[in-house]
Amino acid sequence: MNAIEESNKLSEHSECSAESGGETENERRKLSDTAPGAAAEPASEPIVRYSKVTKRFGELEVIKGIDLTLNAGEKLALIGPSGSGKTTLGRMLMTLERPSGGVITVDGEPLWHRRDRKGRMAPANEKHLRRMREKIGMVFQHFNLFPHLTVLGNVTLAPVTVLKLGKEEARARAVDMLRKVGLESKLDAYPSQLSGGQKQRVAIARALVMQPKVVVFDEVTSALDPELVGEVLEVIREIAAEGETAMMLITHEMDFAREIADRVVFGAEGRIVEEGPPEELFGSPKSERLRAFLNRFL
Amino acid sequence: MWSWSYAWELVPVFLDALTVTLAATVCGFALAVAVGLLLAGLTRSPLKAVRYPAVAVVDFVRSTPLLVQLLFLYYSLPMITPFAMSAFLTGVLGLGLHYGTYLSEVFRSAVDALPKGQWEASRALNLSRARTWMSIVLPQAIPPVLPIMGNYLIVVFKETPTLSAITLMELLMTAKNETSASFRAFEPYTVAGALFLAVSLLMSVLFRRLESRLNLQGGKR
Repeated sequence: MNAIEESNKLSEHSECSAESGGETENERRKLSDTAPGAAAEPASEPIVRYSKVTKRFGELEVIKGIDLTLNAGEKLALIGPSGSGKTTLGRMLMTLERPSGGVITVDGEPLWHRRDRKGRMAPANEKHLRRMREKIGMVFQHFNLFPHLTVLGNVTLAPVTVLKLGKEEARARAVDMLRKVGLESKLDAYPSQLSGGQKQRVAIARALVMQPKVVVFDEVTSALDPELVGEVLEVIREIAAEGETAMMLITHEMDFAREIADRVVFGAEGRIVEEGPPEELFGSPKSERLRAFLNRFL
Repeated sequence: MWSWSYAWELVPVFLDALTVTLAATVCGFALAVAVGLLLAGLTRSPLKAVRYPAVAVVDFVRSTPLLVQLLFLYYSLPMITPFAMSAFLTGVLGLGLHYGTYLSEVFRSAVDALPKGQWEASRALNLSRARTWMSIVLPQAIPPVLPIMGNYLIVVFKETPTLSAITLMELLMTAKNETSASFRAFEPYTVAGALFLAVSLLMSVLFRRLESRLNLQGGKR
């Protein structure tokens, strides 16, 4: 165990020093890493970019300097042992956790910062965050549906109150979205009347109806009974196939990650250990750490 | 001994007093709910400059008797400020402030009991702060505390005799006046007590109805 960790530290270290060579080199590497899938648009600026992002909870440093990009429409899978900081990475993008250091940009704009009059980066105010959140959505492990609203109420609340759509238009959009996730027959049901899989599909519709540019899927099948996992993955698969929305899939479903991700990132203990196209990462993992991790799923 | 004819004579006088008492109760309780919600929100603010004064107000108001507060508002405040209020207005303000601080603790614990995921989902959907409170937090936090709110409504109603100290002609003050005019204590105080009993029971019935109705609307959880 010790020997493994030691060798990982070494490999991480060498990777870090290679990356710190220069921004442009780093970028080129990232872009060439991107699978040439139909969804990825290599020409455009990445929709999300983490630069030297760190996150501390008190004494505990859970994210130790992450550089990561996500291109428009790209499907990125984040895998790794629990405690590796995957969820924190997604929560910082959804503005649920403030990074302790570094910069996250969304669509070219700093997410947690704004430039003050002197051009320096200052902490963003709520107004800035609200504008930025329009581009980001999230689906949670525990669904977090609003129990006092019907399925339709859950999905239309934000379109009506945030996007200021008319009732009819919001309803049409929501019904459309709920049809996509196969729940058009449950419009007037309350969350408590649904199965876990159905709840999660409502949550997916609720996030996507806002038409975000990137959606964080935070272990969305981890709280489900095994027999309900399939229906949720099927819905994500269909949405991924449409291709417009970038996805950050934080997941323990290795087969699923391999199948739909354009790129996979393996992280451990707050650092990125290895990243690349799924066939490479799952087919011929380079680091001992990833090999050990994948072995547990075989 | 008990005289039915005298008791009967008292009814119209007491009905006027009951109107005043009910008006003070309803206005005072409505203000208490508003103050309670406001203080509950402020004591949860991430800003210390907002949170600390709100906590100080709650502690200060809860630590002094309603009677002392009423006397101060009615007699002392006009001497040190240009604000002079009628007995009724002072009574409503006093009841509202006093019970608002108690209700704020009820609301605060109800809001604290809401799962964190509800706040996070609201943020992920980009709901504004006000919208989150109005559409997500309060509709879930209020129904479970309706029985406690109903209790406080009855407490406020039964506390209205305190307003007699600032010359408001409510039920107790009326009974006192009748007693000193007729030298009969039995009928006036008994009629006043019976009216308190009847209205309190009515209030608890109404609140129970409201509760079951809201619980039905809130979906079959």
